[in-house]
Amino acid sequence: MRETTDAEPIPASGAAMNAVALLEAPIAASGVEVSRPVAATIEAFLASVERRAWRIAEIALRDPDEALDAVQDAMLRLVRHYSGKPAEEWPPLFWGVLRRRITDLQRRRAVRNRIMVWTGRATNDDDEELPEWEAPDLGPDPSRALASRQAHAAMSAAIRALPRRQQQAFLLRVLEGLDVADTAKAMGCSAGSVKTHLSRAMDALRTKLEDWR
Amino acid sequence: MNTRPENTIEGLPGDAEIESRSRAIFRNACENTDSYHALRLGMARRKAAHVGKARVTSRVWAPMAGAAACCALVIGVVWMNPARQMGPATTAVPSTPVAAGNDTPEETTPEIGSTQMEMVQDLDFYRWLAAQPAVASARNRGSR
Repeated sequence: MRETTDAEPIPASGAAMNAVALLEAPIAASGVEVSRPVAATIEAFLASVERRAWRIAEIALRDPDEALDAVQDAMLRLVRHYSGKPAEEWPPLFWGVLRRRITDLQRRRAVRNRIMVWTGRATNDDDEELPEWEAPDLGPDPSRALASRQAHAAMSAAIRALPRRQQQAFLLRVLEGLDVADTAKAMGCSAGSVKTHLSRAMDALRTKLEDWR
Repeated sequence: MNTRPENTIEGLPGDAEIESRSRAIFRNACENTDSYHALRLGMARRKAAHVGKARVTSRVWAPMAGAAACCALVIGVVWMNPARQMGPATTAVPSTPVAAGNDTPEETTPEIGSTQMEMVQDLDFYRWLAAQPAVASARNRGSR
């Protein structure tokens, strides 16, 4: 698998990113955050973030279609309510909206499962590891793609096993690369809480890193 | 963030390794998003952008429509006001029979109209009388 540096931004999807002007954002001083360009328009911002948002929602929800719905809802809400805000504020707002949407869906699913347990039609979604559907790989190295998918599945399973707040802190702070302040804004808590949740998440994930290789 | 160096005691990876490893996996997964979901994500984005544009359009047109409605209301009020001022003069006549209560048409209208009718009927007489001032005054003098 190809190794990447921490500061290297994940490329945006689609041609929309090429069509708009991008301003260079200040690089985070700590070196932990991933520096990403600030989009000039909200559509460019959504184009830059859509795939990561979907992957993060998929990790949290374990359902690609539900993740897609969550991302679409977050996009609509961002455009409806926050499109007038400065572009620098879009990332924490968007991730905050998406986080709440994911939490809503997780709670709804939990309630549904409880009802199913009462009615005797429960499906053990939390324990059962179902194979995930993936599109057929047409690349030159199928074994590498398979290893990549397996590593992603193992990492997703490890993240899903975390408590919800630790999971959110890890996804936003490490995978999305938000700084502590933006993560705190998106999570609706203090910066100290973010650090605490993240530290505990790291401790929990430390023993599982071997599975990701 | 509370970064922890390599855990040499237990041989477990440190925070930096966890971060770099998880980011690499995540980045790879994002890059290899299947075309079906990539297409649907693009559609979702375009839909959101379309909603935003429609919202901007409504933001422009809504105040204009409101202003037009206010203008129409003001014009309507101004248009109706002269009619109200003209109203009492035109409605006074119809109100008379209502105010008269139980009076019959024969009792009310002749009282007003009878003198007028007599005046009209006697108009010729008064004209003739006005044309004869000399005769009348001479008779008066003769009687004295």
